[in-house]
Amino acid sequence: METKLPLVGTEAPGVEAPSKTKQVIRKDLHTVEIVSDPGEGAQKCAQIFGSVSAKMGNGVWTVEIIPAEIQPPPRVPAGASGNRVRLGSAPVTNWGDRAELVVALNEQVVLHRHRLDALEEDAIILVENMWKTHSDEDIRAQWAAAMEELSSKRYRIIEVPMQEECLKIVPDPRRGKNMFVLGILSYLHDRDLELTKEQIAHAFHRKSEEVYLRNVDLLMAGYRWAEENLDFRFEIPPTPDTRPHVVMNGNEAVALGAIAAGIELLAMYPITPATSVSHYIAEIFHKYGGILHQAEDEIAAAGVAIGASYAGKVALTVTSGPGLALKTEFIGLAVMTEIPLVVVDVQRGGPATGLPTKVEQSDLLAAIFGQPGDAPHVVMAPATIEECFYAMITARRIAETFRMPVIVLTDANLATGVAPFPRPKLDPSWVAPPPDLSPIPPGLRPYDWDPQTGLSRRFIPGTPGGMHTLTGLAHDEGSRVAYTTDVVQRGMTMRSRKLAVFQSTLKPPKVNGPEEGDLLVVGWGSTKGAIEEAVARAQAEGLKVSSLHLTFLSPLQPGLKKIFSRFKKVITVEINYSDEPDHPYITPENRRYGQLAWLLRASTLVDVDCWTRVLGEPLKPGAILEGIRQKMPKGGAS
Amino acid sequence: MPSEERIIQALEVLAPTREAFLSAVALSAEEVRGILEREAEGQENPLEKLARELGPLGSAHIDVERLAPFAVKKGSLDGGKWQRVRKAYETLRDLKNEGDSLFTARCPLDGYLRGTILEALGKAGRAFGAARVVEAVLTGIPEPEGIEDATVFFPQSRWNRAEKAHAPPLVVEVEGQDLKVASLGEILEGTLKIVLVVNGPAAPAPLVRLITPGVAVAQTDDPADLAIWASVPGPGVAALMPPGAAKFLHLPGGATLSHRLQVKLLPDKEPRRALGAISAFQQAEELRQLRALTTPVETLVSSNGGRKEEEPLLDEAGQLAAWLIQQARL
Repeated sequence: METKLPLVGTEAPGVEAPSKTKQVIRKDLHTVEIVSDPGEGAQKCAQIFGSVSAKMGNGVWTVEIIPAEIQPPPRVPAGASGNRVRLGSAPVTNWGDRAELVVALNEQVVLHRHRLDALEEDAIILVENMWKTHSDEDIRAQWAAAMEELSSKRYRIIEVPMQEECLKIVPDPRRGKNMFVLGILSYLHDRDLELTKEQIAHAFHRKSEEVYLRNVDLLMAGYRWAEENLDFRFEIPPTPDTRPHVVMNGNEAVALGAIAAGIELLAMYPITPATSVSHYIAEIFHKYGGILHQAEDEIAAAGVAIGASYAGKVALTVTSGPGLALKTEFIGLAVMTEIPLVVVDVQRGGPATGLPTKVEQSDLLAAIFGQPGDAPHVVMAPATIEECFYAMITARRIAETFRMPVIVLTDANLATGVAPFPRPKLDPSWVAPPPDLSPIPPGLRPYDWDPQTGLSRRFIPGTPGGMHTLTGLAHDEGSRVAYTTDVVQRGMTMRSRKLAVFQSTLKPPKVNGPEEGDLLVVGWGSTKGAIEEAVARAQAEGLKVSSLHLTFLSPLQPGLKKIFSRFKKVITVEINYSDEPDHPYITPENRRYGQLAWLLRASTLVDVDCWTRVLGEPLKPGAILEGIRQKMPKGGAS
Repeated sequence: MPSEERIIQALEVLAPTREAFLSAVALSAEEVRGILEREAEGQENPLEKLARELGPLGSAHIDVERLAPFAVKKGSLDGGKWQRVRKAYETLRDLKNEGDSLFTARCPLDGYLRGTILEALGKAGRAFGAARVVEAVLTGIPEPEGIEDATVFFPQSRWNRAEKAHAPPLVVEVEGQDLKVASLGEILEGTLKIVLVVNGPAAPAPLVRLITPGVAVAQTDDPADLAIWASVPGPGVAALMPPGAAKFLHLPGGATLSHRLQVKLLPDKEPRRALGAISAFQQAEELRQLRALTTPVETLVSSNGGRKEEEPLLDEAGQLAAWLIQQARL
């Protein structure tokens, strides 16, 4: 490919040559991707860039770009690893559609993103140019072919001599280019360098000062290089919100929320993408009197949590899909014995080991119905990283009030995404109150269910007058094993009744947008931001669309049927599988719906349709908008 | 060095544990104050309280008015209970404000060192007693006998394992003639650290009686040694001794005694004069014991008949076995 080098690199056809005058591109929403081979630190670079941006007052949402394989060979398109960072002048709720700026450590990873349609038509691409003149002929050929393919779009491609520049500072630039790139991004977005250095110090706090200083040198080298060689900068004004904010990912929010809720024991077995909850909590839990127990397996982790809860502590276990499958029997035990328990399921792609690092919302039905036997319990789903924090407080309170497990469904998108939110003002009342250990009144039994509500007093071992045998077998009010027909029926009724009672306390969900219209989009979990952005765009196009996001999935929030009746059509938008209805083999009888759609159809008898995708990545607002257009009822568009 | 300076030195070395204890007391006081305030206000709407308990996410989706019948605990702290929680709070508050005096004590001349220490621990232990009173009131758990007095004095013998893990450190001034430490072994548990600031003539190696595998023991006049001793987790006793005494450091963690014990100064001269009720023989025994602990086992074997030159070298267990066999004259 013939190239010209007006400043430093190649200009793709159709793009004006840069002038010496700096162009300032002002944006209210701006999406950046940093991609490399795994192990080159693109994620660390992006995390620091995202954190600094959040601390400077921008809305931020980050999403990890993770290869399917843990260690793919270098320079293969599918090995692309890194982060997308979306910045805004208002809170950012999703990862957007396409990136406008890409910094890549080789051309193959850019090619991958290009083929996935992850880049804007006129995206600016900054790419390491060492491969263009590499001694290996094959690599040079790959470079040329990639440039050819990329020229199909109006990208502006700028070659950056990263290797050459970094070699001036470090002998092995593979371990340093990411900080050079951070310097470039810091210049382009006018990031506070002192804040950036603080974040570097934080990121490398376990390393020597020499490592820190070398990284700062690389940062500054990247900054200077960009200052001297690039002719544009971006300006993304901060949000007007001046409240103090915290910046974290969803797993950190779950960990901190657990502490804020007074949860005293976390028992878990490592599983992607849930493991980092324990990494974070391990560093601080003991300071709050908490115990982190890494059990020998998922089943044992659930057992330890149930045991601790039985003994009067508030306990939590965290897992992902395959782990939830293993815990089903014990969750049933907690239901049967009416022991409060909080379970967090950080959903990933399935079935089986599926897509360990990728997002899906495919555990909904398993979470609600996965336990053998009839095991009524609560399932809820936070929609944002902030809600991951507060969900732990709510879940703990419900579990204790209704003496049943509460499963909190987050997902890989929330778990690894980073976003700022207003610093929580800790409230002592979030912490679990001490359990009631006062002597059990004579005659009171461990399952003396209130016939109306199914509720009964929680007996903690050691409470005077409370001695009883705990059993997972069918039992009567005295916790004595009993298989008689009336006892079995009564026990089942009482355990189920608690769920109905809890449902009676829930408020109907709020509709986002007009209360009536042509189409209602219903979502749950991490898709909220993308759905609401898509709905806003659809409304701007004149479509009569609203959305509704459910936090409680079992029991469902009340009033849904009434809300649905005000719309011509209702669809769910989910990250799980559903059949396309127009396939010749798919009939109204065998069509598989999205999981929430199944649930809504069953509980409301409304003909709820769905638009779902299982791409191994979060839903994009643009794609949802396209889905909305497709699903609009005939003649529905205004 | 005057005793005041040594007391300051000891308190500095114990600063992290002192601060941890005071911080725990302050935090507990704050928590109990919150309970009292909420109770005293009384007017806090139970629905508002429940909404706060659910957090912002829960209260956005749950109707607290409907939830209240199932979630709001009936009954609050009646007069008697409120008074007891109030007294517990006052105890915690006073302890928090007491400062260094909470961690220092003086054994009177001819006094009983163990008694002085237990007295001081019992006073500081009021923090644990106060917390227990609050817990008992809030949970309704039947209260153990004597819990009423726990805010006045809560002896170490009643502390549970968790409380022993938060034991307050102590600096105790004592005359050399009253430095009888053997009975301290029984109270060394959890994280209890005691520094004895010894005045006047003293026996040369009294603390040797406390050397056991899990107890940190230091006899020294060197602040650096004291700092090392203080940094070791677990219980320990250190004595800042007058000149002429043995200097040694016993730090738990080593596989064998030789790894744990470091003797820096071992006086040659055996004591010949009694110190108060401590006879010269008792003092000499302590010195001999320290000497014996520092003597390699092979030397002992050699001094009791010696092993032949051509015998293979034995490891420590083998050496000990050889010595025992020799002692038994088998």
